[in-house]
Amino acid sequence: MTAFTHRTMGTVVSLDLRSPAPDGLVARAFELFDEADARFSPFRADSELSRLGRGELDENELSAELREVLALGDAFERASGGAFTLHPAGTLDANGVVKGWAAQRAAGALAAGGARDFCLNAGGDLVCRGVPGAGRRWQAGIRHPHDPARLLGVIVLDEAAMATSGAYERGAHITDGRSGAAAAHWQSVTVIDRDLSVADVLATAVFAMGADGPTWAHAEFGASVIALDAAGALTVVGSVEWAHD
Amino acid sequence: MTRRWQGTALFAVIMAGISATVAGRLIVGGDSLAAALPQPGTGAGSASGSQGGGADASSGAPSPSPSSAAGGSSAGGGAAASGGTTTVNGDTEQTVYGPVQVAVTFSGSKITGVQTLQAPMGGGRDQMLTQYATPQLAQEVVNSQSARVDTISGATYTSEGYLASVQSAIDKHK
Repeated sequence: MTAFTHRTMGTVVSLDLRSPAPDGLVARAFELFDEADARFSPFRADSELSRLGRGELDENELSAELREVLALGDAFERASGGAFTLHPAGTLDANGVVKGWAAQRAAGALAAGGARDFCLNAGGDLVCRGVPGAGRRWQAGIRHPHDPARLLGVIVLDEAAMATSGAYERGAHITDGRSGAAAAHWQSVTVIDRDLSVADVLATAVFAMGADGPTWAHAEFGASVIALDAAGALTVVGSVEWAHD
Repeated sequence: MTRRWQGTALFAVIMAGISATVAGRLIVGGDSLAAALPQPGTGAGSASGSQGGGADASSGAPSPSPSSAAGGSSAGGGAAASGGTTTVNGDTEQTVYGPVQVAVTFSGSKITGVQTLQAPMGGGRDQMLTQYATPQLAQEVVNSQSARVDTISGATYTSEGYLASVQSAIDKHK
């Protein structure tokens, strides 16, 4: 296996490649993250997102990428009844969408470019393709929200994406868009889906939505959810295969 | 975004009883990236213990934390470079939990091992009790906590620090 890491978008992206891939493919995949960062970063005054937020761009001037990200966010905002929002406190914040979207795009580029067996992990949100070795399947641990030295559990994944939102380290950073208050029902929400752009937004949306979130995500999107509430009770919705060795 | 109405049978399991304070343990077989995705205090760095790379032996390298030593990442593996393998210390990265530093062993340009030189102590804090709906689920989940791990979901400054240290070692090796 060959491991690659890349600092981008305020986090670290790692690629675990288990079968050979064409030269330049990994660099190209990492470039997609840098392009997304340049386009969507709220911390760069010249990003397209910042310019849109300042009202400097008309609707018809937006890039296809920005339209796609905004459409994704708006769709989940509607579907979640406003619990998930790109517009907290009247601002424009695409962070809840961009990382998963960019990682899914990079994984697509890797697969299309000839990478067969890999796991791409963007700051804890990941996409697995192929297998980690002969006769093996990918196994992903979920970090415990209270203690990075512990795992909530380990899940077997085939060609799947997994995203986790937690109230840890960065503090309570997920807001329920309906009330504007910090979402407090869950400590940790992990969503498994085929597509990381969906799983990432759903993890945030379920966290924001509270108790009804896991069943909502499964009924509406077919995603599987593993969620730990503030009292330490674990909720599992959908089909989850726990690893056993 | 596509809506999926899959009609999959839904089972929501709300849990009670049985604590699961068993520490998540990374058992690293062969050359798993688990070596490069840290669970400090759990001996994640032990991956390279069997890789024969040997930890960095240069002076001034911090001792492994007691926990990573317990995981088997011995720093006494020998010289920093031998027989085509090279071991490079990564930078010490500061995280909210404390400093993280790794040593990466290369065979040519390929990473063959990652060892934890410094890792924040994970244990000793709040021992949260997880509650499960059924004993069967509790069994499955707790069993999984000691399964092999290829990657980890859930962002952590610690793992970012760890990966940054790995990256710095890779950069130095070039």
